[in-house]
Amino acid sequence: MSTTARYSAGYSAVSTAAPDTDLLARLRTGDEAAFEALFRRHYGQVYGIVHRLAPDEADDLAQDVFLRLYSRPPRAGDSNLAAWLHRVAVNVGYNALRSERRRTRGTDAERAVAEAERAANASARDTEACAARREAQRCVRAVLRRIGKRQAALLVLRHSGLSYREIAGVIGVAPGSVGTLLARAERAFRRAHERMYPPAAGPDGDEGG
Amino acid sequence: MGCLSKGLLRAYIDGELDPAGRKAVERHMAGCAQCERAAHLATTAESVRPHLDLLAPEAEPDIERAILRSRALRRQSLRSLRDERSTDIRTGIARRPALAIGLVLVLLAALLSFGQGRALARQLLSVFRVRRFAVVHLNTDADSLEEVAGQLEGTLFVGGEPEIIQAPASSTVGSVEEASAEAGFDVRAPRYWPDGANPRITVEGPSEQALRFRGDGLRLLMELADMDPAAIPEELVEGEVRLTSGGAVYLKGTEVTITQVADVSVTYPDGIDVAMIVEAGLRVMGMAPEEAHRLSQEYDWTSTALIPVLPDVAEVRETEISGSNVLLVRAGESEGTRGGRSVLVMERDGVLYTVAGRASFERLAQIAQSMF
Repeated sequence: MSTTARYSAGYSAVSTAAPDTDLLARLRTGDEAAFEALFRRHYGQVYGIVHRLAPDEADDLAQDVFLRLYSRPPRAGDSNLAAWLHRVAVNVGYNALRSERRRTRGTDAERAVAEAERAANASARDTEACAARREAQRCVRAVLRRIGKRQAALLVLRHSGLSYREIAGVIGVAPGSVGTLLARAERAFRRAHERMYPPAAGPDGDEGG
Repeated sequence: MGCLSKGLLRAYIDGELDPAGRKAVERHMAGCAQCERAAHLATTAESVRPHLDLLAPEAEPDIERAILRSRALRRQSLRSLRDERSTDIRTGIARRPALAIGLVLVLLAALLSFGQGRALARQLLSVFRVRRFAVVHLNTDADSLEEVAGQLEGTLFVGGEPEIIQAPASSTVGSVEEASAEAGFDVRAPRYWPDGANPRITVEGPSEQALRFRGDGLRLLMELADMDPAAIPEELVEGEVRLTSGGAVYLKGTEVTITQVADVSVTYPDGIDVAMIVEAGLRVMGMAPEEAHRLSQEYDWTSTALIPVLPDVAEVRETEISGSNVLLVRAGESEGTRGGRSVLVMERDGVLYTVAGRASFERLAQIAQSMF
């Protein structure tokens, strides 16, 4: 389970000193130092989430998340600040991912045509294009867009290092059902990926995994 | 089959089970030769992982630079916040009823794009050509709304603020009689002024505003509501909701402010099924589909203002004064408002009245009663 160790290490390394709830209470009284302490503590994780969804705007989006915290902090009673931040991060990140499609693909009609063409061409070219790293990232994000926000959120949260318990807090389910949801999201991702970027014809066209 | 659930297996693969759970899974797998699902799940997980790994940031973000930038952004946001506040619940109700935009689209916008307190104020301002009020108690929280808002932000409306087509001319007058003559309708004053002093009276002429929205935004709204986006006519790219008011009068005392707006009307573009948009709106705000459908069909949305009330935002009471349906709302203790502020809203003979102030419901009702 070496991957798990890597995942959780990235996350638990952050907490020291005053708990979030205290800092949040201070922030609600306008304490800038408390805000910056929270910023330092959670920025990396928030950045990691928005970067996965919208790398080109990651800096802006991460700032946006914290500006929301600053101008409209959640109630002190909402004890789980990390979950709140991660939720907002997923929202703004996925939003950017969505509007990216609007910018790049234009109207619904154009989108439909593009999709039809892609299916018709069996997209050998796309698969090739995905070889280049940057293109590959774009492809992965296109798949995330296709499988919908909830599934995308599960995958991104898990891969940015959150535990099942933390993920459960973000998406509002019981920790016990995260495994099921994650398995479902992975299946959806795999299927969508195969449909959108079918492996190039030939015996060696199998995608790496 | 007596086999383990996928969720359990998936958690096992991720090492997310406690030692007892892990042992149980291992015991099961040792005795269950056909149980290949663990392997299958692991393959799926492994095939997905490299794709997502591609998305990981290549370098740690520069936190010091981010902090510096955050400081600048915060200063900026404080400044714009201050500007916004001057039109918030207090002055908003008193000074800018024409800002009110009209029924559902706007209620949605209001609820979604502002702090809860301000949203409440805007909702109240959005009462138009109203014959009755439908209060909807929503079992949802600020976070979920935030989520919806985030998705609709920048998509539903063009610009955000309504475009002023005819700005009202404003003047201060010395008496209620003068105000009536100037405004062209019968201005009402309470029989006495609660604080003894004479109110400051302002009269505003007719005004007209337009709020432009996108067909794509409506489609996204439908999508978020799990309804069919195709129900929005394809040819609808942008539309416009027009709001006109025949004039408004404000009586501003120290305890309460009374607003009276005449002949307010909302015009929707052709081809928009308002009930359907209402239904979608209610659904994204957390109402069960059947309930949202029932409610959307129940009222005539050209004459009913929908006032969504979040459980932790406000206290709401409905009552009747001289035969008119009256709504009392107390803004909750939340960002952007000060607790204890209440608003009374009612309609009578084509004029919309609001009485707002830091007073009890009983007090507001008493003042309103004395006007008729």
